[in-house]
Amino acid sequence: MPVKVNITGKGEPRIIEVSRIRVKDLLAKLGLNPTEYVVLKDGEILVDDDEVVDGEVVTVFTVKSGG
Amino acid sequence: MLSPEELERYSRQIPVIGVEGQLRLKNSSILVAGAGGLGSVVLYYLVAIGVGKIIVIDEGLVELSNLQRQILYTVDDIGKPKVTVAYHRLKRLNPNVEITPIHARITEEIIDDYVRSVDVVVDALDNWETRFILDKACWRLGKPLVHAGVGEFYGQVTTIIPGKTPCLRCLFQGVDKTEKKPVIVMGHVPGLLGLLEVNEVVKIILGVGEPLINKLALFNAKTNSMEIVEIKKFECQVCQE
Repeated sequence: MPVKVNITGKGEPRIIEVSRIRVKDLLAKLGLNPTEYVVLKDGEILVDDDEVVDGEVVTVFTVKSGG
Repeated sequence: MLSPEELERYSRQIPVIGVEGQLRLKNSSILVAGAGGLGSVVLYYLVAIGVGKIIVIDEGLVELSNLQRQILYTVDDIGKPKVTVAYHRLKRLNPNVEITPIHARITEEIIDDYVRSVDVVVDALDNWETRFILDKACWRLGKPLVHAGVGEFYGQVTTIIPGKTPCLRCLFQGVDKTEKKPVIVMGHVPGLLGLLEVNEVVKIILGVGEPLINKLALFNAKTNSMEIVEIKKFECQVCQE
C-alpha cells in the first residue's frame, strides 16, 4: 500500500507510491515548500526527518504568516 | 458595575451574555500585538464589545499600501504611528475602554511586562520571528495566546494555552522564522480572520463555547470553507523543556 496524502483545500487525496519516505522528501515530491507546510499523522505534528511508511495517511496544510 | 450609558451601549449583547458576562468583558485586559490588517479588526471589535483594558503594541507607521486592509487608518494618517492613530480612533468609538498604545518593536527585553499584565494575548503580527518571541513570553507567563496568520485568500486561527496545547513554535516548527516579505493578501481576508480571533478572545473571557484549543482552523475564503485540524501529540524544545 502506498502513502496517502490529504492536502487541505486541494480536493482529492494524493497517492504516493513509496514504502517509506521522510517528511521533507514527501513535501519535495509534492512540490511543496517545507517552510510553508505542516504535516500531521494521526494528529501528531511531524518534523522534516520523521518518516511516513506504506499504508499511512498524512494531512498536509499550509500556514500563512501575514497579518 | 455598568453605568446607564454602558447598559444602553451594550443592550444588544447583554441579552446574550447577561450583565455578568458584560462585566467579565469589562474586567478583562487584552494585549494586541500588531495594529495592521488583523489588528485593525481585532481592536475595533474588542473596543466595540466593551473589554476593559487594551494594550496595543506596534512599531509601524501608516503607509499607503496598508489602507487596502488596515481599516483603522485613512489617507490623513499616512506617516503617523499606527498605535497613536488607533488610540484616538478607538477612543472615539468607545471611551469606556482603557487603551494603552505602545509604539515599539516587540523584543524579548520588553514584552514580558506587557504580557504579564493582561488576561489574554492576541497575535496580530505579520512575521514568525516576532510571533515566536511573543509565543515564548506567553508560555513563560502562562497566558493564553490567540494566533492567526493570513495570506492570499487563506488563513489559520488557533488558541495556545500553556500546559494544554503545543506552543506556536512547536506547532509551526518547520516555518522559516527569519523570512520577511511583504504581506500578500486580499484586503478583506485579515478582516475575516481577525473576527475569528475576537471570537476566540470572547470565548476565553466568558468561558463559553469551545475555543480552538488543540485545534487549528484553516480558512479558505475562495470556497467559504473552514477545516478544523486536531492536534493530538506534539514534542517541543520550547514548551516541553
